[in-house]
Amino acid sequence: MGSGLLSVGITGLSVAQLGLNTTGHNISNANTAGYSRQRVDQTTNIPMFTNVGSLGQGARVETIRRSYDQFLAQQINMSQAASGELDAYYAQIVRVDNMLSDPGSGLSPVLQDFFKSVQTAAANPSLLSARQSALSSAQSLVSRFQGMDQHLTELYDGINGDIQNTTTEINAIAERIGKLNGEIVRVRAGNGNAPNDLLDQRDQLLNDLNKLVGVSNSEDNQGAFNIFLGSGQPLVLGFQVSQMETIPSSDDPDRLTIRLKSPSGSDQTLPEDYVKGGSLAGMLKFRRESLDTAANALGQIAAGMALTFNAQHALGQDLDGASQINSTTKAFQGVFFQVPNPKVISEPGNSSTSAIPTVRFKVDGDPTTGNFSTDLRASDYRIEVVADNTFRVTRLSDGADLGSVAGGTAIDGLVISDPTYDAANSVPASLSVGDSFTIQPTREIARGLGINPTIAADTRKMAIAAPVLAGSDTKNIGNMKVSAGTVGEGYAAALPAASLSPLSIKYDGTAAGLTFLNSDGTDFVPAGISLVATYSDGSTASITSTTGIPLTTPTTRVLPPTQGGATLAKIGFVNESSGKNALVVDVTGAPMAGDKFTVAPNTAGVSDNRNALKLAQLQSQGTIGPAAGGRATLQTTYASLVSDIGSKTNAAQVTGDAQRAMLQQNQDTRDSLSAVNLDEEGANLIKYQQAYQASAKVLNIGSSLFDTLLAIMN
Amino acid sequence: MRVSTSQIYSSGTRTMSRNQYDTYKTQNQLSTGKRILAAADDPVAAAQAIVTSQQKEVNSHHAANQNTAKDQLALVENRLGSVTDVLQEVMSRMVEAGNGTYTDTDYRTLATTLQQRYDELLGLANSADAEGNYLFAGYSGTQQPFVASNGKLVYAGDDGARRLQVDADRFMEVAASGNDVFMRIPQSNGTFAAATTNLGTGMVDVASTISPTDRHTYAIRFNDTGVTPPDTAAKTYDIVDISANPGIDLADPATDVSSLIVPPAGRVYTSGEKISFGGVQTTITGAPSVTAATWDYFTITPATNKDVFTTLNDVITALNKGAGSDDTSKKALQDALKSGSADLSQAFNKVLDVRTSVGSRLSELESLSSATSARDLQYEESLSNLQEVDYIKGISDLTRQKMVLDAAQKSFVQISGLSLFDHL
Repeated sequence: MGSGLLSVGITGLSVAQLGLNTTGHNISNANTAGYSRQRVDQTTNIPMFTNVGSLGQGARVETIRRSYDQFLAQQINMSQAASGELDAYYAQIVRVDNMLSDPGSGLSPVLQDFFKSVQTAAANPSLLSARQSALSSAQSLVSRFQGMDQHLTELYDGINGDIQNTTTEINAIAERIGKLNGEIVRVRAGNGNAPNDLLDQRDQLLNDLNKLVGVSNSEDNQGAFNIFLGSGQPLVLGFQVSQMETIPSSDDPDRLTIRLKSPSGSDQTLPEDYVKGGSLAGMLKFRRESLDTAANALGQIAAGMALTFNAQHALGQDLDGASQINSTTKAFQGVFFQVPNPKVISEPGNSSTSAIPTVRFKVDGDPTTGNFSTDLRASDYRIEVVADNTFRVTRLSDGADLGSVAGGTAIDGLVISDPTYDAANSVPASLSVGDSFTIQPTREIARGLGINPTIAADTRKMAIAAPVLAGSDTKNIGNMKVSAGTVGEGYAAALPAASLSPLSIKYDGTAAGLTFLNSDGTDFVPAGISLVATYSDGSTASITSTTGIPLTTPTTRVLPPTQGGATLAKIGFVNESSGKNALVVDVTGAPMAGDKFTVAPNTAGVSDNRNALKLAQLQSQGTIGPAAGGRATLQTTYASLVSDIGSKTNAAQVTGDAQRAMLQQNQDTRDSLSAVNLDEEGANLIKYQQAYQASAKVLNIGSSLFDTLLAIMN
Repeated sequence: MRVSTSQIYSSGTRTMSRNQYDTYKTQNQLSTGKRILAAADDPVAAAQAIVTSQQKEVNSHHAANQNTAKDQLALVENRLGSVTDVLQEVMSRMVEAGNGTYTDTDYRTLATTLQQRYDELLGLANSADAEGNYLFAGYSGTQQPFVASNGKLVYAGDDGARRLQVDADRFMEVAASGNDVFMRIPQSNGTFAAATTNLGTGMVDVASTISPTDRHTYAIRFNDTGVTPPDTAAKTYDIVDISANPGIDLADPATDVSSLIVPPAGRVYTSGEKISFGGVQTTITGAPSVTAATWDYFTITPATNKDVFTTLNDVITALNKGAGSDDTSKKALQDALKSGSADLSQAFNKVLDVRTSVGSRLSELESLSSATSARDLQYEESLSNLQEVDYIKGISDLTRQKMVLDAAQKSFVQISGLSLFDHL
């Protein structure tokens, strides 16, 4: 009986000791991430059945159990993946947002400065210091574009590096989970007890993994985890671990993308949108949705600004009187900004890697009636060769199929053509049918923008004047006045050759109207140019380059000064192939017999600022984007970029906050169940200490009972 | 609900960090004065601010251009004012000369004075702006506009007039072409000249002559129809269109011009009576002569343009020649002074026209400039509404956030200080 008491007391002692031990373990791991507090499951020993009833045999510990809820862990993993994605996205996009918003790094101030200096140059056309200041602000503008592009390039490079680091980390975690899977299965098979600390470690690794990339997991019947990427590709299957690798993208070798290599050695390239959740998905999504947009839009603004400015600049005349008219004798610099060509990438699998289509920018618009503009969008394109010199074009920003486009036809401000194909001369195409290419029209424009070095070295070369000047003869009696004239593309063809210049427009009262004569008195018949008179009521009269032979049928070679009561308002020299004005002279008033007007090169026009006025106007005119609905100005295009990135940043911030709050909530729920409370453990310490002391007392009493018996026997 | 120790710490640090971020942000807004620190704070307002700031900037370009235009136009106005003064003086001197009391010496003295005025006028026409560009040379700013060529003054500039953008849709000319101011001056009327072969005392009233509308050259040829010898005073005349044959010898009675006569032929002449045809109106006074060998005639050349320098030069030449002693030369001087005065007053009117136009542009600039500065204020205000912090709200936010942060910190210290182990 006494020995029974002793053995019962010993069970109590050992249970209390295990309790103290577990409490100590809990206290030690109070700050261990992912640790679930453990409890001893205490129960009674099997009693001894006697004739007086069942006699208790003390206590024993059934198992040591962790406070854990599978569902809560799952919840945390999911919100961890979502939060990790948004955090990574936000961390990146906020840098773009700050760059665009900061007046010190944004585009807005330098763009305004540039156009302001063009206005100043327009006010002082012959002042070299005004030209120099225009050039300096053009240089600041170019360096700002380059600086912003540099920043974006750093983000691209940073993302490549981050993707590499993240995959390395993912591989390390997957490796450890694979190892833990092995150990857990082994321990379970050994004694059937749950290896609590190993399970906690694996759960914590899964949590860490979800921060990097969203995964789903399932437990097999042996207790091993199978882990799949968001779209179902296995990352860990029991002890088998796949490797995540980075490879250059087929669309753009400059960017890294992800490939999964299974233990059996087979590769699978993961499309970017297969990666769901975690910082990896956040970075890929940021690059795909925001960084590309920002880089393309910045390039779109740079290209739009430079191309339209160049087109107008080419129609000017510099301080030395050089222009397109006399470019054979005087060096004229039409190009102000150097603009790189669109980037074309040959896709893997093409029959030839060296042959690529020629892609050029196209500028629209007519400066005589409005301004130059471009149809350019902030998008990449995929083209496929469907026939010789014919391409199927897909716009990637909105996935629009632009259909089959014949080479040389403008589409979205681009002209795509086979580099060699010439059907008329039987030159075959270089591109094979079925080959496809990625075009990044604007991605690298901001980076490659420059200023024509000849102009940079000599500001006299800035074309501030207009090359043509119309004027009235000193002897004119009538009150007809002609404007100085506005030139458009190909204006040189609308003027007589230098030896026959200037062109005279004469009004002989006896004839039916105005006659156009070369300086030697011969009829002016410009090749491919129609002379079109527009009247105050909008009606027109025209002479094409082929109608009317000089002098034999004079009535067809004159433009009447009035038509149906309406007076002459405008004389246009229209390019017959493009339908655009090469030169326009506005007219007011009525001529009298003998009046004469001249249209001549403006080589002495050092005080002329007409071209600079046109250049300065590009600031507030719609120059970029689809013509439908009106093109946007440079500044509004930039503003919509800023607001686009701003809204995305704001959304990432708001949803990120919400996701973080949800994660926090889940974490709280889990912590409330699983994490250690030191006060509670302190109470448990006291509890087990007292149980230990009481059990010791039981032993003590058992022993003293035995001593009493021994004393009696003595 | 059970609370774990880590929850107490993590929630404590979380709330403190959030409160700290709030105060940091408010402090940042207050110290920069900006509500929007990055576009993400208010993407729509940030975009609007960019567009508005460009509008404001463009508006200020216009303001700057208005000032440049004002300076430029004021300079032009100043020079034109001097030109007006010179012309006015010349005209008043010529009126004095026309009263018939002058001797040839007086005429020559006057010629010398006018020559000085001529030089002064030329100087004004060739004046340059502060950058050394000629003011009245059109676009050819470095080309001296009025230069002598073969003894004649020609205009070497062009018709260009520099414009500046002074408002969104207003491009204002800030120069006047010398061609317009000094050269392209319509003569008061057509030239009505007595043929050099004339023998009679017929005189044309220059001031009342009006140019033919068809711009043909006509002759009024007196003939001997109805003349009774030896009375050589003409009684009838024909009007002959000689534009197709300007060299024709009309003084010779043998020349047959019947096909060129503007009907009716043989008009009856009365001294001082109005002669009118095809837009021409004039009167001839005195007695034109017709002899067997010579018929008097007068030619009417349509009005053309005559530059102010030629006009002045012609007057000076005539004055230098003087009145002479015979009636013909006296009459020639009177005619020259008469038509010279008329042409000068045309030139004067032309300058006045240009001055008026410059003046109205200057006053337009005044009103544009006040509109521009009003707009600037508007843009400034909307920019401030879009971007700037509301200090009252900002400061009250900061005070509240400070209080909350303070409470979070104090309560955290108190809660985390509670531990059962302190009592064991």
